Amino acid sequence: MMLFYIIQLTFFGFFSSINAYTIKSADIYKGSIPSQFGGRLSSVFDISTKNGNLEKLSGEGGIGPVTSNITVSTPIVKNKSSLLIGGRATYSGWILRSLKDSQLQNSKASFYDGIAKYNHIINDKNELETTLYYSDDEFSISSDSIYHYNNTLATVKWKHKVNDKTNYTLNLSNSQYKFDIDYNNGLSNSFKYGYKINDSQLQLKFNTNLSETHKFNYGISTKHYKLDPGEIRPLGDQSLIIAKRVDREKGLESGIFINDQIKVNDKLTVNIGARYSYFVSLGEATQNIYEEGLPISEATIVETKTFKNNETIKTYGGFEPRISARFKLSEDMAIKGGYDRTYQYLHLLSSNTTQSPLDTWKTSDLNVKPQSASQYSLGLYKNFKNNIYELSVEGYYKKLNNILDYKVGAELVLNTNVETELLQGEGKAYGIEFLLKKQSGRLNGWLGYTYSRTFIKLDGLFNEQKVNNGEYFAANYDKPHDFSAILNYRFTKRYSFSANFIYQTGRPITYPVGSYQYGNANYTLYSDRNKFRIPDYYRMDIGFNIEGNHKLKKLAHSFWNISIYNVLGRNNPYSVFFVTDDGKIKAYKTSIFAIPIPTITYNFKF
Amino acid sequence: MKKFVTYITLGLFTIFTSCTEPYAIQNNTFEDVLVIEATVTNELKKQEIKITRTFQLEEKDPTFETNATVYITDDLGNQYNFEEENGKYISEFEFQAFPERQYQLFVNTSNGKEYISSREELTTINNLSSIEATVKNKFGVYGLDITANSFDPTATSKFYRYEYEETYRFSVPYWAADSLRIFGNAEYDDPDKGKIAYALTQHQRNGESKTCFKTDKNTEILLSNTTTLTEDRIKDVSIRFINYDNYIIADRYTIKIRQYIQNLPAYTFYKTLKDLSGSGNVLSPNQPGFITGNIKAVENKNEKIIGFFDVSSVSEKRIFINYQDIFPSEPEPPYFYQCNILDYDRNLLKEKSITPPFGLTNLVINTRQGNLILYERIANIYRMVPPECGDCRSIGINKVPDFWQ
Repeated sequence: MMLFYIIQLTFFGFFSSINAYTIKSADIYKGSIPSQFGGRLSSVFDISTKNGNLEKLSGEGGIGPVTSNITVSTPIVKNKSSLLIGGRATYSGWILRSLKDSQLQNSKASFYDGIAKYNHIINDKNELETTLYYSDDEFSISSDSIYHYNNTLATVKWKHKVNDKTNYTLNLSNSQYKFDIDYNNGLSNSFKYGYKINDSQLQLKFNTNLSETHKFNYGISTKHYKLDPGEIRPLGDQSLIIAKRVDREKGLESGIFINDQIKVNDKLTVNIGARYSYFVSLGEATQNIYEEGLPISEATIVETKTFKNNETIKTYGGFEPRISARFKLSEDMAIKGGYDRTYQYLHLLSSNTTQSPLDTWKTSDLNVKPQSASQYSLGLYKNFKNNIYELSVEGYYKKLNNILDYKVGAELVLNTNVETELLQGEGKAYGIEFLLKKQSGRLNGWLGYTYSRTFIKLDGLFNEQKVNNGEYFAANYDKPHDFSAILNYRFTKRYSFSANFIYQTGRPITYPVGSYQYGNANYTLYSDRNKFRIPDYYRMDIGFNIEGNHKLKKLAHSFWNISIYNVLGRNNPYSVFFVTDDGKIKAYKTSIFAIPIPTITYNFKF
Repeated sequence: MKKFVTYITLGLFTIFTSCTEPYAIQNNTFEDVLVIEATVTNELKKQEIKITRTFQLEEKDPTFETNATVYITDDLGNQYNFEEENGKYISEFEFQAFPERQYQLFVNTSNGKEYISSREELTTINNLSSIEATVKNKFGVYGLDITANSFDPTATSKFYRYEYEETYRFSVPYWAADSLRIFGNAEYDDPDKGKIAYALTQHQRNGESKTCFKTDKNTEILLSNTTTLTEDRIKDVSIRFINYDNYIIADRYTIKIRQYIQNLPAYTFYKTLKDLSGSGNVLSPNQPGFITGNIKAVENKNEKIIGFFDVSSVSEKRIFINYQDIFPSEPEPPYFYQCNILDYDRNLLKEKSITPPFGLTNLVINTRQGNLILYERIANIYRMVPPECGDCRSIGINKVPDFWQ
């Protein structure tokens, strides 16, 4: 949960968001979200990092010509405390520079991250963990712009065992996500743009295993947000850009939660949980009051109110029941169903009309309400052939309220009255997910297919409140088909082959569909919102592993990996965008890694 | 071990390549949509409605919707019929919109479709109190700022749209009384001797060609609102800014500003149109989409119709400005164009020469095509200029406008 901004990390999905070698577990909750998690409508990623080795020095890593990663862990006081340090980096610059293609020479990308975790077992009852994480991601698609993402995270976690039945965890964390663009063409429109989001969280979570039949977890949490939604400054001597900053937004999101896991009998387990979340939008801020009964727009501002530092601007609260039940139909078959209600007080405003998607954030306030969702889910799980095969089918239906979207003509970036560009409406989402896993054998891997849809309805009494005539339309992130496969095949003990394949429907897009004349000028006619789609995404990677020989006394266990990324050379669109130039509209497509890319890596473990 | 295999695709990386290329906008996405531009005002006149259709992205001009039946009704049962005339629909008789009456627009197209607007009322009548021209330094640019002023004590106007029409008198710098004509034909050439059979003669031009008038309208949408002000007052709202060295104000210039009072939906329609037509800010274009107006198809509620039936009160004012009066110490602005004078020597022209730009062929072709006109003749030298430098009719009209003072 704590790492949720890091999911944003780009490098175009080439890097996994997190260093796999440092991860203990990564749980994705989609169906039924436990009550200890809040603040998100969609799935929750719960990532916990590994503890360091308390007994001996150990490590693992991979070395390649372009990227490398290493994780080392050592005891500080044997069996009491340990330190784990991990890092990853690309150093692709030299390869790009050596390429003949001038366009590629202008491309640039670098990524590195590092994690350090100290773990201390104080005594039987107390344990302390501190984690620091830092990542830095920089790339440029064209020679004049550099995109820069930056994450920092620090956590301190104290686990205390009260008695045999009860323990608690106190968790204090701070995370920061920063985004910058440097655009410098040496001309008058060169600028530096950036935004920042910082949150500090305190969570106290108890576990009480009252009996075999009742296991409770309960607690409280509070999170303080500090948002700097955007700032622009001129860059270089020639720039005529006027500096502008959108005021900082602050908010406090708190929650109290409880969950009882009830084992009714050997076949039926029920989770009854609930969360109450509460959000306070805090000053210092100015907030516009709009004329009642009219759309929120710059033409309907009645007055502007000023709020002092930490003064309450507006409060919102919501009761979030979380109920699920699992019933064993037989030894190898189960069904699970659930109902969740969730609230989201922080909003992501994402503009995908540009070469590189541009996001910003907004807290709920006087004029922007929290989003909420009610989700029903049902799944069937079955194992075959002595649990070699696992099959699951999960379906969900979600009703969404106050889903945020944008007015026609909305300007989201650097807008001091961004609420005038927003619309909130109903949404609905549904989907079904099939997953087949084979865990063992020479051939193993999994196949997954998901059909999912998300629709939004934006309607109102006034034209500017309507999108697509007030009817449901596909949300910006609606990608109906998603297929993925990972297959591994072991030829011998030393040689193995792996392949993965991903297919995703292209995201929706609003297209120019004609021109018209109005007044004394020509204008572009656009299609209904999200009526068209950008081309589908698909990619196949293959890899070949060669293990070292299995001499027992070798210092390190190692293997070589030879792989080809995007072996089909698919020209996947990263973005499709339109530029109006001299009254003419032109479309552009940006793709990244449109050619097969071979690599070799030496991996080791000790 | 198995863990290694699972992470195979996650941990191992290579180089970064990207490419941005033009992306074909598919033509089969074209949507044929009716465009209705109808603003009816409180001026007693023949009101006008323009009905066109959308056109392909790569084209420039719309097609006019012909043979439509167009009329406006009011809540007293009056019907005002419109007749097609020169690509526009003009009301049969003069009429004006009155306060507190409701008006509705009906358009029946020749393909049998019916379109109806919502019922609209005339907005508050609030006349422009003045327009002013002031010399200013705006964002580091020195020039003439033309501003509007208006005040509504009832505070019900709030939403303002402006149009302007500017007319300027100008003279061409390389005027001549005569024009050059070329007689003869290349077929009479005598290739052996290299002599030619062309005759160059001068004729006096017909009509005024030195000083003309040109009228331009605003292309951008001009809006203003007073919702955040303590009173409904338009004060020094800039309508037109002209750089001091723009030749349009070099002699005598006039601008007519029309102020339309709008209601909120009409204002929002124009505001969205304006927002979408701009390029957004430097970072990101605005959210694209269809802008819904107040006209609907009777049959199919989902049919898109572009346009707004606007019943607006309007007022207008005109001012005249002389360059000498406002910029007495500035030198005269440079002419619209850089004018190059091409000299052709008649003696040399007797020789067959094809080398541009001073060759005979060049002179003959360009004079006949109207790309060059005579500026002056000095003995055997014909001094030629492009028409926009020597004949004002190539830019404007030579008739003094009725309103000119």
